[in-house]
Amino acid sequence: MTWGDSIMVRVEQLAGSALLQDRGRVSLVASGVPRSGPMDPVAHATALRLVASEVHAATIEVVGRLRLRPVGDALVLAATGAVAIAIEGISAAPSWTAIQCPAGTAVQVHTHRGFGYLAIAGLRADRVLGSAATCVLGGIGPAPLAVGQHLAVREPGPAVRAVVGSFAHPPAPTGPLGVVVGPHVGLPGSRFRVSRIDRIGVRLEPLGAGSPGPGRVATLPSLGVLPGTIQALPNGALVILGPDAGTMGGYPVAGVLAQRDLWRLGNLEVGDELRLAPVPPDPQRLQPRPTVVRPLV
Amino acid sequence: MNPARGKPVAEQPGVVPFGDRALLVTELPPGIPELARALGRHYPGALVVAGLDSILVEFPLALGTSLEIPTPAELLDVLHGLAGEPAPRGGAEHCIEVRYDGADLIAVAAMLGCSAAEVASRHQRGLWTVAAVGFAPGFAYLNCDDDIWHEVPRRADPRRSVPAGSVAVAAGRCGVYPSATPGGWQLLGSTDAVLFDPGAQPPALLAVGDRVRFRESLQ
Repeated sequence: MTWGDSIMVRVEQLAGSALLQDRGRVSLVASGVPRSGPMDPVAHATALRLVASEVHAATIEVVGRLRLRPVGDALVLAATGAVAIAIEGISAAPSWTAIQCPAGTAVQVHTHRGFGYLAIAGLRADRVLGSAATCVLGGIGPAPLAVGQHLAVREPGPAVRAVVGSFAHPPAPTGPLGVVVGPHVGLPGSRFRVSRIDRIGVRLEPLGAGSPGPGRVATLPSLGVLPGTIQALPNGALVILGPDAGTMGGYPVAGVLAQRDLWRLGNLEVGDELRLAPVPPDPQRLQPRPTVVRPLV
Repeated sequence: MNPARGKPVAEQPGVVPFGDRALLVTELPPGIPELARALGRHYPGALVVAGLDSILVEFPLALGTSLEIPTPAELLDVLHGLAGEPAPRGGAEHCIEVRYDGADLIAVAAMLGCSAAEVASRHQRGLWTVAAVGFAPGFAYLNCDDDIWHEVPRRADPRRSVPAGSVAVAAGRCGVYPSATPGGWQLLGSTDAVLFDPGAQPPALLAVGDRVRFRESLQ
């Protein structure tokens, strides 16, 4: 058995969307190429750690239900996010845990909310412009997964087969999302309802007293923007830009999501109510890391 | 090129935080493309995006490295230092062939009070400079040395899909749509030029500071 033999994984059923995502292609923003990458970078990175993959490897970002069947050999895989994972013939398997899926046996991942991540040890992914991430704006990167498609997987070596580990879910995100306010306008209130979610942006409608102030400008000369940028629309709604948003925008910016809360964009559902709270800019704010509950054995 | 049209030119740039890891430079004098390139050279590893009247400088979190983020005052000092340097003109020159067959050509001619042929000829006489790249992969915002294009507004009713290769103008600027996207600019014509090629290095044909002339396609 050598690392390099390939096994195949057939996409058997898909209700929703399934896209390959890695850390994205940040270095091409000057060409107008969106960064892409996972909506929830914490869940994505944790799934990769669980199957002992490199940090720049790809996972499958799932919204809805995805059913895969390995052909030829067993898989080592892990699902993270708000997901349920089940192996055919076995009752539900744990999420946030590395598990083995026997050859010929289907595995199904189903998201309860937001974006889920399925990491497969040795998953091969074609790179476009240095990244395997699919960008829904402009269609850069691999095509979305489709039923009948086969994914290539390098056969896991003995070391990976021995991997069994588990992480605690990150704490349930209940507090307000931190926002570095400005530079153009302030927040039109503090309470919002999520009205639309995709990889380009999350749209929020103000609740309660929030309303656009008089004299607000509708658009500005286009400026550079980045994921987490909060655009103020003329009608008082906000759009928090996601990883596939364009690199420039013309709406006034009401703030930028604090770096440490960016992953929470991948855990929202339409209809959620959430609060935004001003925080000072803090360059040291890193993403939270989930804690290991069961070390790799 | 007159990026500060309608506003007094500021004496002093402003630098404000833009989230945790980026700074936005505003109130800029003319010459934003050159300054954006100089900033990119000064801060290797930073992501510099030239806007139409601003520059966004992001100091991304990279695994295993910690790129120091300057304070707004420190970035302002750097800007003053860069402004003192002789700005290398830089930028490539491009000639883009256009078929003047756009759906809005007649409407634009009416706005400018001239014939469609005169619109095409004026479009070709202008020297266009890339002010910014964004909106969609490879989409360049081109400024012109001819102020007449400011008399052409955006369409009141944006199109849901503008065909790839469309050459369009609005509010003093010209752009070529690299891929089919929604758009509100007025369509003058079309080109076969490839504005964005994922296999090319860099993938976008046009970069900030490049100069473009349009020529009528003889085919």
